[in-house]
Amino acid sequence: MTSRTRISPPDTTADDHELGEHDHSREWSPEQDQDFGRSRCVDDHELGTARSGLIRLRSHRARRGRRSALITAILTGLAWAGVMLARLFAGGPVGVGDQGDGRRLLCTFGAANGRPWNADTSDYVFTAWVPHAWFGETCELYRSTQLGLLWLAKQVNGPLGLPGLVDLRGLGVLSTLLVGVIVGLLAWLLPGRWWVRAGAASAIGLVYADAAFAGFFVSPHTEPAALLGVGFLLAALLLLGRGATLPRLLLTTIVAIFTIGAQVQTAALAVPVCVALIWLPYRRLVRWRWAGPVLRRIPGIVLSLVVIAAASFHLAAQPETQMEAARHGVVFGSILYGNTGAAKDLQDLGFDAPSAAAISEIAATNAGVGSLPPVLVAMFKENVTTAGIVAFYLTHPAHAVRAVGWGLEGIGRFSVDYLGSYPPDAGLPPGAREHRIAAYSWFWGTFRVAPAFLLLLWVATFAAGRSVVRRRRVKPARKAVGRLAMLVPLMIVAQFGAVLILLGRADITRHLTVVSFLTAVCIPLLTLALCIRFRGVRPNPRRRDAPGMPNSCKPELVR
Amino acid sequence: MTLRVLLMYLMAGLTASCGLAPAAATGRPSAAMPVGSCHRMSQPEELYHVSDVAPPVSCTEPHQTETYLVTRLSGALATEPDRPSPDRLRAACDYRPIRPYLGARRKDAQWGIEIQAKFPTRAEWAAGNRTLRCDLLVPTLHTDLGPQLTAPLRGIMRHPQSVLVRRCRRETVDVVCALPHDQEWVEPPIYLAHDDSTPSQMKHLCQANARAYTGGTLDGLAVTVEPVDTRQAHCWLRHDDDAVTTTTLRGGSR
Repeated sequence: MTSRTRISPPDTTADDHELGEHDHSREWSPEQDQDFGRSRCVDDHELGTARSGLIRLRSHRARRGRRSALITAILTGLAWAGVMLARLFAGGPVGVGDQGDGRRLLCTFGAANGRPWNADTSDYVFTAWVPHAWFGETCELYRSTQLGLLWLAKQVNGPLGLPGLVDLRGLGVLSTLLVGVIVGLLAWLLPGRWWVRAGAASAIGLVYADAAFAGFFVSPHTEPAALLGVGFLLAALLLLGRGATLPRLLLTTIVAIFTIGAQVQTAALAVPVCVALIWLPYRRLVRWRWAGPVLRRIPGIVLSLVVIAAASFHLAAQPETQMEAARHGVVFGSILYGNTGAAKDLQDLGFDAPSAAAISEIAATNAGVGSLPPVLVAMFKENVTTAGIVAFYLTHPAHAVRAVGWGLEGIGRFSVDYLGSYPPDAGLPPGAREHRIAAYSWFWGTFRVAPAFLLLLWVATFAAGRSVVRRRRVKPARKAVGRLAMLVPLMIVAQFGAVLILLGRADITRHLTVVSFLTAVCIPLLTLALCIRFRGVRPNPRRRDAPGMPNSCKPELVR
Repeated sequence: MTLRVLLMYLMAGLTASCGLAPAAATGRPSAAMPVGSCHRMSQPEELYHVSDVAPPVSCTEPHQTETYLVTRLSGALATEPDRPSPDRLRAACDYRPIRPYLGARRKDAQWGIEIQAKFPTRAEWAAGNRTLRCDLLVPTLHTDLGPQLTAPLRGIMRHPQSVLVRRCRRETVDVVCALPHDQEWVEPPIYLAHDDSTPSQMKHLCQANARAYTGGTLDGLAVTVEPVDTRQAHCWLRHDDDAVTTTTLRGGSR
């Protein structure tokens, strides 16, 4: 009981690491009252009056606050669903062209793109997918949670009056609604007054609406599941950052598994998610100090293991041919690209000297692994593993720096400007890109000129978050923003590394879409974290007290 | 134990959510495709994929390719445990059976035909199947439909549908004769023994070839000589009024 007998104003938590997870501002316990009485020596009558007034006022304010937060969330969410619908469909639909991913995804539903034979799907967006019977290897197993979204799109296709088996415009409508839900959830969970919540959530909504990302919602790519999953993950982490309860831990786990299952590279999100799950002790075990830090995090640890198992399963379940092709792409497209010492590097990857020389000669002609003789193909398969590539980068910092440079350039490009945005009947030239909303794209000019600023943004966001988390006397809801600001750069770095290791330089801008999205989210997150860091701490009412006077019991000061 | 069961159910759930069972049907084994079978591949991905196990269709229905040769891979390629890359496999299709398959005689020249090879699936290859299917692909008539045809290619040179595989020209652009054209290629081109040949000699030889090509007189037709060099020239047939048609002038022994 002694651990809870200190009376504190709502923003001053006794112990940031332990009790900080208890929101004292929203709870009132008899023990606190008793202790308050003892420490302040206020007579019983005054104490009783103040206490009942305080409870009534708090209850009233809490109700009003909850209602206000809910209204703000609903209105903000509806507004952004509307904005997304308008930016995707007003004046004709826009999306992102296909690079071949569409067939791999939609053949699962027995659908084929209804485009003309000679149409270039990367230049134009062909939204209608018609029934088609696929046989044998032309439709191989493809694992992504995007299939879930497409299944939903298939269900709404008829009711929306769209042609074919699946029309991507239906996916766009669903996605806009989900973006609205995400923005609404963020507006609900972010701290501050209504306009701060709405503003901060809208800044993230603006990222979704940006030309770099919005088009993916009318496309046959896996990015919609990844982007929406990350959005829900941000909301779940905000909620979890207030304190670890079982529903919050489970919610975060489910959302994380959905997001991880979207793409190969999103498996790397398991790392930051696990950090988040075990960061805070389970709320009901907070006072079990005797149990030690590990036992008090048992639920989080168990769910972390589930997330790791899910990520491992997701990676292991990918078709081996695709993973093999990706590894070949990393070696030929990244490690051997423009590499004058290719033979030496191949030896470091495990090839013998003659084989390394032969492969480096073939690589110098920009040929792929398909051009290798069978002996070298077999050797390639044996020597080149993901673990081997990781070890190579760890022992060859110059290559790692080169790869990071490509990655930063890829994020600097921001949008996949080589894929068209419009359907052919829009009457625009092949490959034309839309820029209906491009606030972040415009700002990204800075990073295109100096990609190193991206690193600064990540570090600054992390540092601001850490500063908020370390600061005492910060409400849990605000501290959750700090935790999120620390986790988002971690998510970025994990994803960034996974793309460089698993997929390499080829098509890096598209593969780094989630990283670019999270980097853009860093901007409002950093702003919010800095606001909390510098302005979020209210004056301590006790400092304004006259010693021995009951003014400290005045509700407005305690509140 | 409970945790294990829970994890097992979770994994099963993730499997269900992550990837539905592919909709692709098993189809027909590669080895069961006979010569003369026609194959519908209405999606470019099907046409350019290394294997095809879709059941054949009737050759009078819309289709993209027709099998002219079924053979077995041999040599070093066939000994590889994993299916080699398509780049290395494609060279295995022999082009020599094509003309007999089309029913082409000395005066018939096929044009625009491509070879499309289909190999066993990875699973079939691993099971020891080394069947190589060589298909013929005709030029595209309608860009929206791709290389689609509705007639069998076997013996087509003896039929009016041979416009699908004959060479014609619209003004200066070579097209397949099934497309509107104003000139038709006369097979064979002329070759002269001496460098001092005159244009009239070339014209005379071209007219002789053209008569053999049409199998009769050249009434209402004109022959155009297109010299390649001093000893060689191409011959083109056209209507006197430069009429644009989609038929062939080939007659003769057909």
